[in-house]
Amino acid sequence: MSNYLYLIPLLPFVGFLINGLWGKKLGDKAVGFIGSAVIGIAFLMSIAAFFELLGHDAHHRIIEHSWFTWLAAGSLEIPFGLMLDPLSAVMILVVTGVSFLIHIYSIGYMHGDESYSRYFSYLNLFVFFMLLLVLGNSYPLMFIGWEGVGLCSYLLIGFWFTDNAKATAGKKAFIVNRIGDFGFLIGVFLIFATFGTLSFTGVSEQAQFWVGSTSVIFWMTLCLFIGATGKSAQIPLYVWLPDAMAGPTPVSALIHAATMVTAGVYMVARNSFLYVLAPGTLSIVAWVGVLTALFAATIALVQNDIKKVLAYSTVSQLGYMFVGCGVGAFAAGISHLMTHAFFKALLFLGAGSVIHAVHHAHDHAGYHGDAQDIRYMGGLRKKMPTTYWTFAVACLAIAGIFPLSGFFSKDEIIWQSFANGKPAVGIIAMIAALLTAFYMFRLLYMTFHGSWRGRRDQEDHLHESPKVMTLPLSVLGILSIIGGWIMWPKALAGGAWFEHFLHPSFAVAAELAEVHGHPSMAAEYLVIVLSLAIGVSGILWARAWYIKNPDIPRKLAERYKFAHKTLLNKYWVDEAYDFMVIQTVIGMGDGFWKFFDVKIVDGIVNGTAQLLGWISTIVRRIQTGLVGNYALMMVFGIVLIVGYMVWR
Amino acid sequence: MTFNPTDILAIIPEIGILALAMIVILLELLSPRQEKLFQWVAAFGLIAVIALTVIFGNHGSAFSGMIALDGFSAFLIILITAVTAAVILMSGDYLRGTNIRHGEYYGMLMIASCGMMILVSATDLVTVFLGIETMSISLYVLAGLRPEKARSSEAALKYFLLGAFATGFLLYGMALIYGASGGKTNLAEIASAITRLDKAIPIHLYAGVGLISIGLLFKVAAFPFHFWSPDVYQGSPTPVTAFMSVAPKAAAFAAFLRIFGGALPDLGTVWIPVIWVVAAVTMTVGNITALAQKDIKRMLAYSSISHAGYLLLAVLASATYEVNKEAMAGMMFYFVAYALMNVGAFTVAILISRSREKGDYQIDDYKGLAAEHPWIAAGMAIFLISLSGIPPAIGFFGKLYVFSAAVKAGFVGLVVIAVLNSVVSVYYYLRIVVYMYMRPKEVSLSLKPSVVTLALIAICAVFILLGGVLPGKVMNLADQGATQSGLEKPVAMIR
Repeated sequence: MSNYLYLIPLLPFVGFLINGLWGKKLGDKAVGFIGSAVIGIAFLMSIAAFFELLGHDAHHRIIEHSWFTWLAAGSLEIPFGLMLDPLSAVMILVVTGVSFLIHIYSIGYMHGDESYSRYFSYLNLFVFFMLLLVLGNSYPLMFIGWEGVGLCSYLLIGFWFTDNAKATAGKKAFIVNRIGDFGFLIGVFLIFATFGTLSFTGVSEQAQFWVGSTSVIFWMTLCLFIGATGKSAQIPLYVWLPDAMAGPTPVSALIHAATMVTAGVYMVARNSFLYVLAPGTLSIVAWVGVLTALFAATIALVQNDIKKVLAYSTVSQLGYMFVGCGVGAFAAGISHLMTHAFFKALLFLGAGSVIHAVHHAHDHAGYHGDAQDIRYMGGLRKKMPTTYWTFAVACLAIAGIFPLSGFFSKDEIIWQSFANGKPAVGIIAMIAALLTAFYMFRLLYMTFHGSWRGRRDQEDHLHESPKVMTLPLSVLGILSIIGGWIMWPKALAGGAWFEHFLHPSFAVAAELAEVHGHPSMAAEYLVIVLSLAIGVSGILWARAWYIKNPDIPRKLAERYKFAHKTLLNKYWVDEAYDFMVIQTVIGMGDGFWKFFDVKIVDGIVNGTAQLLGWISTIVRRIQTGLVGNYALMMVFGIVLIVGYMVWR
Repeated sequence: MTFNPTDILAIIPEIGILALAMIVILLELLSPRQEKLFQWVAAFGLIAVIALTVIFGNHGSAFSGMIALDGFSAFLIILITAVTAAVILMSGDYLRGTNIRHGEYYGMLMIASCGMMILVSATDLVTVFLGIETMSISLYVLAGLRPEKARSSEAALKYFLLGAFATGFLLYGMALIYGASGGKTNLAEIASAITRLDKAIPIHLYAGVGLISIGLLFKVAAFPFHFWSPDVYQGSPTPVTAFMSVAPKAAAFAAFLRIFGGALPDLGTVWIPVIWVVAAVTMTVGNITALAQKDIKRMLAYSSISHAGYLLLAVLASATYEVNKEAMAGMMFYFVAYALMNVGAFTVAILISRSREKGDYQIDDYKGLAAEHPWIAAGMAIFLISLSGIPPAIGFFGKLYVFSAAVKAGFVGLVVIAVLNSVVSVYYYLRIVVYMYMRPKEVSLSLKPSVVTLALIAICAVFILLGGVLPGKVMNLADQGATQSGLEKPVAMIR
């Protein structure tokens, strides 16, 4: 099976080609079927690959295939190869599994869109690049996937490009990501300059016995992390993700929640052997992660757009994953990546279901309003029971309620922060967890509880989404409940199976890491109880403010007007960036263009072109067409050449 | 001199293609109207020749060192055969409007190829000459296949006169080397004779090297021996032009490499400065003159002159022992790229010209092509982008490998000139792309491409992109070929 590993990324690519080239002729039904089927088959093959990997004994769980040398230039040789190890196995399962559900959901969600085939071909292309990113066995291949998913993200955010705001959001995502990618590239250059190889295994082997300077490791890991802050929306490059919600909602679920944005976390985990050599970078990773988690959670408290709340929640949860990596618990970071993929995809798809229904109702009532504002929703629980129940499950999971999946991964991250000597990080992560529970249940209560706050004539047209959409919701709901059970910690009489499974991928890192004393079991119980208590109190707090006494939030907002406005306007970060960076760059660009480009560069280029053109017309005249002249020229040449050689 | 019966295996490709030529010519005698049949017999026969070459490709030296079917020659024989097949396939449409006899024409193409095969596997001055003449005489005939057209007769006559002139010098040079090396014609023996002479090199050996270089520079159309090529390219039947711009060039460069890199590296101090200057002037003159062309065949002729200039870099690099193999492999790769993009570009040029009343080749005809025929325009754009050496097309990697070998051999200055030249060339290549995509059409071209033509364009385009994305595949083959070549660095062996 593993010999056919390359089929896993290839299948989505074939889907992309078919849907991209002949999608219009095939018709919507065939397009949706092909688009989903290729991912479904890729998912089945990923499962097979996973079990084959399990069949190996734990120390040999790595399957690497280099098919050919892709590029060779001097000492740089880039093999084209894929690598399956526990880490990439988990990633391909998550990517293909969640993608498959979202493709199916999209059949219903995108029904009737005039660019249906374009949508599916982009989505297939995205999955191809994402699989290349996680399966590639070298930095250049990872970079191709990295850039490729960025491209697809851009294309899909601006999918409805006739709307200027949406096209702009796509551009913003692309440009902000490019800034991060620049850091990533410099990191890769540093790696090549230092280790002379670009394959993961090659670098890891050398890192294992690294005795050289640690400062170069610090800089390369920091540069890589800058790339991660772009792709995974961390401070200071998170600003693109909330705007990315302009894309179709399944895209938000797949790319901007479950898979692409976690690429940065995957990249840091993949480079665990480098990061442990640079404790300085690890601290930066942990602090950036936890501050992003808190910062984004505070913004999410007051947002009124259903997708914006989820977007900030994603930024915040990605922060947790980086905390996990930053405190050296890479397995915990990847655990949260996986559980988050389940419940956040579910939340987005649930939100999509709600938007779909509200939009539909708007249409029936002949009203063109905002279909995403939760202030004009409410009471959807009875209208859309499946959506409600699955959404509620996801909210419980993200709030970290035992025994749902989010509890296990989030608790592990918080506990590892304390265990690895970063208690301050752990405490901030707990505060953010409280806010998370609060804003998620605020969202749930405002959307589904109470009574409909929109227009009366719309209410009758609200109904549950079709089966093709609710079925993926149910599957993801089940996964959100049980998905964390493989991580059941030892403290609760579990086996922490997932961590053991991932261990070979982080073995080098574990060997190199600083050893902290073994913290007591009692402390771990304390953290478990505390974080559970925090989750529950967050929910009760939301219940108190949005079910029991709905007046409180309004009064508070009036009393602390400035604080409320600051949060509502996301701390004015976008405005600050615009003022400090964008206007400066535009001004400089303008200056360069008008003076340097037009006067100097164009002048030189046009001048050279004119000169060459003039010479050309003269040289052409030597070509007289007369054989005698040609022979004469040859004789000149012969005399010169032979003369030179003889009388040199 | 002993004759070993298994030596025959070393010339299996040559025997195969000659037999095929005879078969096609005889077929035409038996059933003169079966034009499609000749074409397909020729095409499939050539595939069989490729298969034979693959099977016997590693035979090694034969006929007392006259000829070697090694990795290098097998690679180029396969390339030349493939180009011949492609030219035969693209000729079908072209020939139908003329009174050229198909079988005869195909046969003549294959005899020319046979000469080229001898040339690429020649390891002796005698076989080099035999190959060059077999190839050249067939090409003179091919250039003049349309006697009713003044330009075609003119091309044949010019090519023949100047070619005969150059052949004289080539032969004279060989004679001088024969005398100076103490009666040797074998390349390896010449190399060891020169090494033995050490410092006491007679003056007529230098003259011999100079005269041989002139003969070969004429065949690859380098300055100042290139004047024939634009006129001949323009006057010849266009499929023949496509053929002439690729296959004979590859063959002549192979001989160039075997003689100068294999037999004469010790005299590098004598010939390297000459070839250096010739390379620099050739690429510059080729590119600058191409800027002013209005006829696409002439433009491609000058483009081909400039490419010969780039390829001389590989000849220069091959004189340095350490990068000898790399230069060889680079040249082999370059010819794969060059064959793909030139065959593609000429196929499109024939297609476009056939839709014009007078059948001319004005660059203006390409205006607005993309709107009417998006796929053909896309193919042409790929060929032109590859010719100008922009990634991810295969032409970029061809240049990269040749230039990097030259840099390693220490020709940094010349590589800078070559890169600047590539920049100039972008102008005239991309001008056509601009015409196709950004200019309104002036006349409607109602193209009726045949399936074969479309397939040729598609195959060339796909391989150009594949080779550009995965150059490692082709480069591995070229590397293997270079490593298995009979160019066993005679100098190094003897020292």
